[in-house]
Amino acid sequence: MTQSPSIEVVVDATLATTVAAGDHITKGQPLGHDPDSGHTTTSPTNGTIESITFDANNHLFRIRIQTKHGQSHP
Amino acid sequence: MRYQSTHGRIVLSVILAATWLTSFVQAASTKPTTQPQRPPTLRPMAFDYGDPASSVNDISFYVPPDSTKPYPMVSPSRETTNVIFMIGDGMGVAQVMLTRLRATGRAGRLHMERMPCVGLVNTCSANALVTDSAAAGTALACGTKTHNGMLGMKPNGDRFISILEAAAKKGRRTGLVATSAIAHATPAAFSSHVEARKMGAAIAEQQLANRVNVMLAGGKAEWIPQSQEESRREDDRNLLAEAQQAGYLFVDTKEKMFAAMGDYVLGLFQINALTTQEPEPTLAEMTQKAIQLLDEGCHRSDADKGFFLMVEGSQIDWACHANDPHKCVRQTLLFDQAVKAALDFAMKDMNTLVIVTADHETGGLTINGANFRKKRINIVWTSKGHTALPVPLYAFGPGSTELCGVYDNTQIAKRIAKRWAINPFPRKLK
Repeated sequence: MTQSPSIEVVVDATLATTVAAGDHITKGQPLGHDPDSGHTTTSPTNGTIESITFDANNHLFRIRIQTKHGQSHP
Repeated sequence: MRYQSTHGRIVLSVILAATWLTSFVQAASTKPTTQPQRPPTLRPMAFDYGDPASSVNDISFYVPPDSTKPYPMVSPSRETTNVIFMIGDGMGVAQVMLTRLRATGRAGRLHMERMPCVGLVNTCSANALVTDSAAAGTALACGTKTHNGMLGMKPNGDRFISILEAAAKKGRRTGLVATSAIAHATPAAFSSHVEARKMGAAIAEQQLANRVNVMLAGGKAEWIPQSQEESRREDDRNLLAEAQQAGYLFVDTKEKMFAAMGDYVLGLFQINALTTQEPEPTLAEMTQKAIQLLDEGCHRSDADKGFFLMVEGSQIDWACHANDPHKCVRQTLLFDQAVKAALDFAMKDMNTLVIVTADHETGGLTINGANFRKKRINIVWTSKGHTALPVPLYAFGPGSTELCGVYDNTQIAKRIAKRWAINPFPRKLK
């Protein structure tokens, strides 16, 4: 059985992410909000949140999403 | 027979329909939901600190106060020669209390909690109830609100002078100490003016151009040319070389820092943030050294005009983003040791105002109870981000009574400026 590919999405860490590790998510679902730009970061793919880590040097959350087989993403 | 046959078909149909319905319900219940999940809020947690074998429980580095008595009030009529402005990034009331419970017990006090004047500071930014460190740092440094992400300027791009820069213009010596990179948001708010906190290379250039007397932190990455490994610059400027040409003594180890002397000292001890572990200097050691360098510089100078020093315990915020109570306590204790270093100097000097506060709260931490016999504190995190909660302020020294009460984070720099007859403040940078 092959492992689904995973992608990383970063969101500003000022506000919490709107998802947690283990969540199943759909393409377009909000992942986090950047109060700085007013921009809401959304998931580029369907999949499962594999992990969320805090990047202290850049003050970002790094969200790793395991994509579903056959799902296209940028 | 016909009846029995019909009856049998009906029974069979019912069984088949029930089987199909059961399998449908089972399939539906095991299918991953594609609906948005609830936000990952409300994380109750037992903070257990009883296992002596676990390194996360080691707080032997911390020397608690030998008394819970408050430090004495200092007459407001005394001159405020020096200001030491200390910021615990992400440090709310609950972080302070959790750290106190862990380190000194219910009846104890942290060093910062013995400071006699207490305030409560609102933290919202110009565009959000929940601030980030850049906008909060700008409010604390420049006395003006800005949008999250911006440093040292109003939302329209007008650059505003920081209290550090205004102090330097009045002939005071200046210093920045942090456990983050020196170009990180809070030290940057006091020493640079950029549209976005991500502009680390530009921030470092401005910090050098500002000729801050003492800078001790992490973050060589913004100071070395792109050709060097782990550089965060996109050009060939070597700011470390430029700093030395401009008269800075550069140090990168604790031993060199202790031996450093002179009017301009730049100490960067890691490529990015400090690890806050050996062999780096601790925040308290950096604070003590910065005070010594600034104070000696003042006495060498004909015009002893005092100094302004900003000290940040940068990594309390990072521990709280991770919802990690062990790291939160450790970072707050490291910060409190630095507070003690500042208070030791201020108690001898009696003309130094020490201010301890935070830029915002992180994690939405609360404390629900404890079992001290089992060495367990029941806590709840409500967020992995910042919150809009007001933060505590503790003050000691001449001018500290002016910091009692509930007010906005823009007021602190304004009240220092008033004390130092810096007028007008806030004001645009020329």
